[in-house]
Amino acid sequence: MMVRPLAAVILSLMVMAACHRRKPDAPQSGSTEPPVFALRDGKVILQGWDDVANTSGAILLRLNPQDFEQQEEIRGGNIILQKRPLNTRVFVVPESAKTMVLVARAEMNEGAFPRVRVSAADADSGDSIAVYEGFVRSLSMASIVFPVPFKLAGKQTQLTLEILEPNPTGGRRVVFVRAFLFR
Amino acid sequence: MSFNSHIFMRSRVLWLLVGILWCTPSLKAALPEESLTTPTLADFSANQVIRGPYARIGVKYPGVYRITGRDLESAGVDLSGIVPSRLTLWNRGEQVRILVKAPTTPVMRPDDYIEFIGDIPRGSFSTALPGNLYNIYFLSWGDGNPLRYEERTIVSGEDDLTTAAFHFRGHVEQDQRFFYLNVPLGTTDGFFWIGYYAGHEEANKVSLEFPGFDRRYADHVDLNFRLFGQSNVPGLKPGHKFSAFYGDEPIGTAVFDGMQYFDFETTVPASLIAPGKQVTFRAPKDREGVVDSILLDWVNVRYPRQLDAARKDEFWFTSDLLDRTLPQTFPLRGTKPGARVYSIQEGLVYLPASRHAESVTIQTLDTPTSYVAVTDNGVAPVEFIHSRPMGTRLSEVAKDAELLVVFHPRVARAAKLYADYRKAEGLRVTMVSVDDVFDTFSDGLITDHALKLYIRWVGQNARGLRYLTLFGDSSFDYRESQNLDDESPPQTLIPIHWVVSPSTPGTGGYADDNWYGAFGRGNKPNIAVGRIPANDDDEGMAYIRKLIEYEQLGLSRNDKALMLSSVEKSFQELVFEARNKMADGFTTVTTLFPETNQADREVQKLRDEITSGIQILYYVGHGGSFVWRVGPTDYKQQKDLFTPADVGKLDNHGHYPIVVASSCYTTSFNEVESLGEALIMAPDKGAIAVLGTPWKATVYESHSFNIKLLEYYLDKTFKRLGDVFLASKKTLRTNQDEIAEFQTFTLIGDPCLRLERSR
Repeated sequence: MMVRPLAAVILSLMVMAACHRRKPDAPQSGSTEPPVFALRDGKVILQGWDDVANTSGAILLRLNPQDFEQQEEIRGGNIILQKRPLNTRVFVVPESAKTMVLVARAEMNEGAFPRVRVSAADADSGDSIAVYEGFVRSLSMASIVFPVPFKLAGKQTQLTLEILEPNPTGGRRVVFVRAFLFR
Repeated sequence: MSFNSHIFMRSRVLWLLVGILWCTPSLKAALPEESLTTPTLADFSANQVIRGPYARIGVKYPGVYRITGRDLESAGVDLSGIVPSRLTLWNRGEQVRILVKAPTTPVMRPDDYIEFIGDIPRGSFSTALPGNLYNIYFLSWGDGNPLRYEERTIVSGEDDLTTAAFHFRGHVEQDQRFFYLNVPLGTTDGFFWIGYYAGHEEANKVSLEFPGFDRRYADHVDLNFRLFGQSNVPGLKPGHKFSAFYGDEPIGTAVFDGMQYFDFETTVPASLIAPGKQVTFRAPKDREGVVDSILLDWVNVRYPRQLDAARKDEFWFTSDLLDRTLPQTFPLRGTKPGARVYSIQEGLVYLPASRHAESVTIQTLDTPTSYVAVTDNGVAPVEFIHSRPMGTRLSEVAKDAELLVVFHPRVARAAKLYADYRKAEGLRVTMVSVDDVFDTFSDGLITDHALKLYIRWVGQNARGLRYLTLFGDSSFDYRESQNLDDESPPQTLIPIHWVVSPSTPGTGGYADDNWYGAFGRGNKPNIAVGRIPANDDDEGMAYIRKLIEYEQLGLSRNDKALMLSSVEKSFQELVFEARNKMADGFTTVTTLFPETNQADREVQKLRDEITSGIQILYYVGHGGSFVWRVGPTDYKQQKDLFTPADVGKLDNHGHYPIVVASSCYTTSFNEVESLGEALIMAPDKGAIAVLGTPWKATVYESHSFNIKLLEYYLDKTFKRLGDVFLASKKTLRTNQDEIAEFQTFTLIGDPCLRLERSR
């Protein structure tokens, strides 16, 4: 994934710059379509892309396996969630974060994926709320998106991740956690 | 039962990394039968569901799925146009029964929902349909004859089957490996669970459990392992011999020959069954030095299982009961409160007698029937919902189209901007989303055949069609088997067409885009095809930026030509021939013959040359998907010359060469960022186009094509790269249909690229 260059270019400044060798293409005569690109200082500005803010949601905070307390559970870039819950370090939830993303994959057991709960505890008050309950339904890495509770914004927080309902027949249930993202 | 593999290392086929030249001289390929892709108007009306508004829904695993009105709204569906009683769901041309939970209001509300039982996209010779990760369903709200589940509550007590058991049949499969196998199409999809190799006993184990095994009815579990012979050593008898172990106990030996499937049936005695035991295959001691490898595809398990949901959120069972006659009325025990039981064949949903009941009573048919008990927790959301408010109608084609842009929705913005750019310079452009093509011709499922059908339709109706741009990447690993840990795993955006060819003995063939633009016999192209292998809009925009810079700034116009090869004299002679042909077209033609023993310095030298400004780079030599190499034919003595990592170190902003390669696999777009793709997709650096083979080429035959291509490149009557490319193929057409080599040269980049040459 590349980084988008010069995101905020003021549209009114976009002029078709003179090229030093030949005049660049302009939209067809009489066309009411906006021009596709502009040249400014020798750089190509893609209209409707470079001049529009990225709305996909920048990652404001990323918690990696190294940001969990259970370092001994890290394997191959993931932290492994089984019977024991996992706790992140205490961190500050970004003020403007709207969504949380759990990036994880799982293995099936008896034809079913494991069900997990993500809880967030206010480090100051100790109050804890469940922010997500559901399955990790993918053998390959997948993003599970859920909203950030309003009252967590800007708070010192610790996340806890646990598998719900351990398999009654003793089968292995495992979730491979890559990251938590805040967007 | 549960099978969990414990191998996390990736496997990649060695022969893709190493290009060995002078391979089979005869490149006979299995040619497509073009009558299969001759489109008719009737093809466009095969799927009536999509003529009105609909939602396109993707499902990845078997399960009970719920779609709420809110989900539909989030996907852009206007709920005010939906009357819940008219909702219908379709999959592969058949209506799928749904449960509708909506009060009798005129329109759907956000809290209303439907539930249905979803499945994977089933294949014929493989469990999953090749090319597909998702099964596609169409939710329609036009006129129709809706199929519904009816809810039924039966008060328990008629029969007590507390101690009953049923014949459990489980299928366990996880695609975690992909192998290119030199076998005919239709033999295997190439995806397997795990591999076993004689003499290597490392952690190739899968866990195996038998929950609810009822010892009263059997003293063993039946297993059927579907194996595939990977190795094929001439004269070795048997070709494959592996013993299976459950824990440390032997449970039989599989013996078979050849590269083919083999069903190995065995049993596990009840006395051995214990939690946590694993299954593996090992070669006998006397064969540890033998080249023998087999692959495990899946396991079928059969045993008597207690009829008890064991408080699971999702429990699949049948009424194939032991020691009982059908029909029966009985409670399924061990359910969680709120669980209900779907009966697919009966079209019924059995509800519990009360909210707190821990059983659900069902009434069976007189033949065995499948059921799934599910709680709200066990109901899953679908993978994606795409709204199609206007429906899809593709049959009308702009008669004057010169360029057809086929794009995937993931790169829709970039494809639109590309098409607008080409329109602005006067080309007549038509665009189509591959999803619309698949919805129209193949019930939403990905097939190269459907795409070819549409492209040919455009070719028939727009006689001036000259260029085809495939906007979107592709990957052999469409089932994400080798990229489990990738946060953005590769996907099939524009599908691969696979050509079976003995000229590539390791893989048995190669990916070919040329086929999409070849409308007649012999895979001979009618239009110029190029692929922009972007995976998202960011990547697509990065390439368009380079494209515009190349054409508008013209910085490459006076750049030099670079001829690159190796120490081998025979290769150098080819380069000299090219240099002599190119001399008049460039102010400077530089030759570079890197020495193997100074590889590191030579790599830097090559990077410096490219940074200094190259208009055409012609490479003659060894190569693989991810590398060009220098040195003799013996790959063990070769050194890497140029890799995708080296592309990242270039600093040639604005001076983007066209790269032409007489080498193996340079344009293998089916790999995860081959060298050709890396050169194209690197933002602000790299190349503007790469031409070469996506297969195991021969240098001399490649050179004979490329020398013609370079000659046409210098001919100013050709304005666009696609014109040069197509003319080269047409000139070199033979009358022998089976000769496929020149025709499958591949262009990565824009076929409409306006060439910038010195005046």
